[in-house]
Amino acid sequence: MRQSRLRQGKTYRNRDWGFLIPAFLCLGVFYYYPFIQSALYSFFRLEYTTDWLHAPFVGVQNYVAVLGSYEFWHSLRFTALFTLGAVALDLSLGMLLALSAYWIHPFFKTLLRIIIIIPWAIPRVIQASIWRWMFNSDVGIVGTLLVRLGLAESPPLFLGEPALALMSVVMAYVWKGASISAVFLMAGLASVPRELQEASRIDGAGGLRRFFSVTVPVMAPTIVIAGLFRTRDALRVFDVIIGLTGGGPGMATESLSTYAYRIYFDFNNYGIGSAYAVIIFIGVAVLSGLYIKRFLERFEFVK
Amino acid sequence: MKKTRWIYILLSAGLFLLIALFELGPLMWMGITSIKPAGTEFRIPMEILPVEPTLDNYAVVSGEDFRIQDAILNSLIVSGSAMLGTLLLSGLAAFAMARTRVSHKRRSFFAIQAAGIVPPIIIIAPTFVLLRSLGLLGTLGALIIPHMSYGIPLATLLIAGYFAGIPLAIDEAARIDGASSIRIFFQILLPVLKPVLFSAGVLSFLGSWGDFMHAFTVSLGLPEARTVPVAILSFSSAFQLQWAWIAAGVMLSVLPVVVLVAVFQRYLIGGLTSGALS
Amino acid sequence: MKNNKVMITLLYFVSVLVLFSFSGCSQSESAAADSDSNQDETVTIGYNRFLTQAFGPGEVPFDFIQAQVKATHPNIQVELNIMPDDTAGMRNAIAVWMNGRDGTVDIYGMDTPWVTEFGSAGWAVPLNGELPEAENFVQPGLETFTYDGRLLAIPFWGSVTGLYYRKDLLSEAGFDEPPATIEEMREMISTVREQKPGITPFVWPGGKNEVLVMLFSDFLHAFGGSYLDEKGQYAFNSPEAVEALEFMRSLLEEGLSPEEVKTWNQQEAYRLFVEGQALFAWSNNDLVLWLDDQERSQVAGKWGFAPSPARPEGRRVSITGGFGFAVNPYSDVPEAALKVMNVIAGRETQKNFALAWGPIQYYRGLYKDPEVQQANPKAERINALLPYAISRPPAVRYSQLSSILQQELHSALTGQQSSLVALEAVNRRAEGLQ
Repeated sequence: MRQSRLRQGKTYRNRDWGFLIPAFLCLGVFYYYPFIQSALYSFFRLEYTTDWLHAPFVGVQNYVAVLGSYEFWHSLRFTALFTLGAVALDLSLGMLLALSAYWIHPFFKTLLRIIIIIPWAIPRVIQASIWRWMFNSDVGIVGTLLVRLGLAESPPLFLGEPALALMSVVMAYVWKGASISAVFLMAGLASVPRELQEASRIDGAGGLRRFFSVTVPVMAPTIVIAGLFRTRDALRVFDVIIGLTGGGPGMATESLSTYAYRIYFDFNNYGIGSAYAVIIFIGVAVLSGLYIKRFLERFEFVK
Repeated sequence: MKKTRWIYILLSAGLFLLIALFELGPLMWMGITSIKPAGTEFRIPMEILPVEPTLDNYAVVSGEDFRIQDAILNSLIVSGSAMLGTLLLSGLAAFAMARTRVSHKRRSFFAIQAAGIVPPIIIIAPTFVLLRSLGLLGTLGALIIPHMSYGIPLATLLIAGYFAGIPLAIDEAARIDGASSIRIFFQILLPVLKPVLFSAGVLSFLGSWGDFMHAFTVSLGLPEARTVPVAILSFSSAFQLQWAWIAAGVMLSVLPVVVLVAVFQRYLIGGLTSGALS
Repeated sequence: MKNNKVMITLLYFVSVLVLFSFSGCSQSESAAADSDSNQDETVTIGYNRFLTQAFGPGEVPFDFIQAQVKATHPNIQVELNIMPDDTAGMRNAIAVWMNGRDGTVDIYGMDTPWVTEFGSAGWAVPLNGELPEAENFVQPGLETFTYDGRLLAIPFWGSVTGLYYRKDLLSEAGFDEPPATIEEMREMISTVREQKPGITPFVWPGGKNEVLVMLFSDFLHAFGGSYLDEKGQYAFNSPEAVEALEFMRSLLEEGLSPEEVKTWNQQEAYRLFVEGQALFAWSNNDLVLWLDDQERSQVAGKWGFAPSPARPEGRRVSITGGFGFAVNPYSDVPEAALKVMNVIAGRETQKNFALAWGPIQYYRGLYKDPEVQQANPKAERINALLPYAISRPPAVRYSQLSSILQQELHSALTGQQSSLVALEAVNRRAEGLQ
């Protein structure tokens, strides 16, 4: 008996890595391989061609060029500011939405949850198109409403003025982002034990106080994780910007990803574009690494 | 008592309307735009409500030139297949890492998650070349297999996290009975995993549905390989983006996903509850 | 346990190597050019949706090409691969195909500014001596698409930019001729405005795209500047260039152009003029085809088209544009593609383009053809601008230069930086792109 169990132990230990093979195969072919190939490109001078076998090897020259370029720091700064603003709004709005879904009369609950989730289901490119149409300076509904309500003389140039463009991009992004955060936070809220709420209510704590002293601390991990996800997403913002402003006006809304895209496709400089993308990857990886580490700590995998 | 109840209902209704306006407003506006005759959406001074509503735009968009229904079908096939593939592969991988005795669990997990951080631009060009040598360009296969792979990191994260909420006892009992790992996964754990499979499924479906860059590059402009995002952005006539058409296309394409969300919203939140978030 | 690890790593490396060899290898499967005329072959043309539309009395160009090919080479089928509408989108698609050595599209449309880039990257098959019909083209037309002695594309459509003006409003105000200098233009604007205060003086496409580069090139020369200095370096930061950009900004500041111009592309920009609410509009000759069509335009019979005004010390110029068809070097049916190209370069097809799209063609003698003249009654207006025609800034990597110009010019227009700083930035960033 004991022997068979031992042998059993050995057998399934050896064979079970088979479960991982399919996933790794796919990841290998469609993530690792292209990534390594692109990373390879970043060490060569490649313009208009990706034939690195016949291209001059330039070592870290591309990286130096990127890190020394004004455009890199400009887009980095924009991306950082955008991320801070967008994530803060995402989480706040998302929290409001989640709380609303939690508090609202049961009659509306299910429908409200569906409504909150719907923006998430809309593809990013389409979301960008929708908002571009809404912000249109001639016939966009937002401008028109502002004028008709008497808040503005003529429809503001949402996509033409630098400050407005920034706000418009954040607005369009957060519209969907709040929904994503809301879903995460709704799940988190659902796991706040009711007893805790009841206990503090019995203790006489008012609604707001209850929220801050009980709900928020219990939800802290969820909020942090939602924040990390949204941050990772915001750092890679692309579709919304390309769809709304194309990086304009001027270079006011050029993010890291949009500029990398420009280098890749407009300039066809695959060497520098790859260096750019690798740098973005490292940045995002550092941040995600924090989360993954935390995840690994919390979950004891079966030894 | 009764008064507070009525206030509660009233406030709820108000809150509901407010949120509905915020979340659905843009879509409603697209809906209004879609029934305006093409070309009139640019009239200045702008008419908010159409003077002569028409369904012509929908006809154009489903008609010979654009055939959005083909794109919707393509998207459904691609995203559906990719979702199934992702769930299968991620489920197996998560199971291996969370419940078996394979070595290098942490490293495997890290490796899988690291793949998910790669920015899409960096992999477009080599992927294109790769798909070309496999002869898949211009076919749906060029989308299904990559999308399947792209969904693995997130799905694995969710499913592995969910495993933490399933008592090990279930596994142990089965092992003592002599069940193999395969049996344990498919017969015993899979049913228990339903909630997270739904939520991970919805997420990977939506992820694939919304992909543009890859879908656009790989479609080579061929209509039979076009998915919804690519198709909608191609709705223009000679002179400018035809927003009325785009609006009609958007409304049509949003329908399947709204239905999806409505049906699965409970599972979506339920499946996210344990594990990954707390 | 060790075995597993070794095996997995080995498996991975083997698969990676296999994949590397797949993509590194060039097309060993590239089909040998099939000159067997008994076989049916398909030639795919890549162009945007415009090819399925005719703006004049001619036939839809793509249908016409198809019919012509069918008549002369019955075993060749022609198909259309619809590409994105905007030139940037088209270029991106072409770039991806070239890098992937993809041969799906055999013939693609090439925009005039891409010639140097595509030529140096080897993205088009040299057509010298391959097309008998090329002999019948006038030299300037072919030169636009020639790089380093290699003819890369056959032109089929050309454009020039200029100033549209309201003849009726100007003559009411006592002016018989369109403005030749900037001062005259200002004078006309203020006079007309007295009589018609609601008129928008000047509309132009100031949005962040390629057209902005063309517009700036125009004004650059109008104020006496030039693309290069005597040493062959870019001169975008010359005092004249700064003046030109300042002029564009002043149009906004003085209210001579609405703020919206900063977001307008070419089509959005001319809308006000077509609706009769603008006095001057800067655009290319596309409008000439239908400005007299009462159904589409409110200014039928009331407009004129002239080269843009300039300072006395500057030059009046007109910026050229245009498209040609080139052959994909990775096409698997190169011989068939060349046959189709010859058809495209033939008199009938070129004439149809003249009838359907507009009168700037490069086939010798075509403009004298009575049908062409009848279809393009305004042709002489367009032809009047040809002597002023110049091309866009020269650059080996034009799209990079264009991108830089667009970004910096637009940020100066939207007030994010001064004209001087913006143009200095252009010069600095553009160094070495010639």
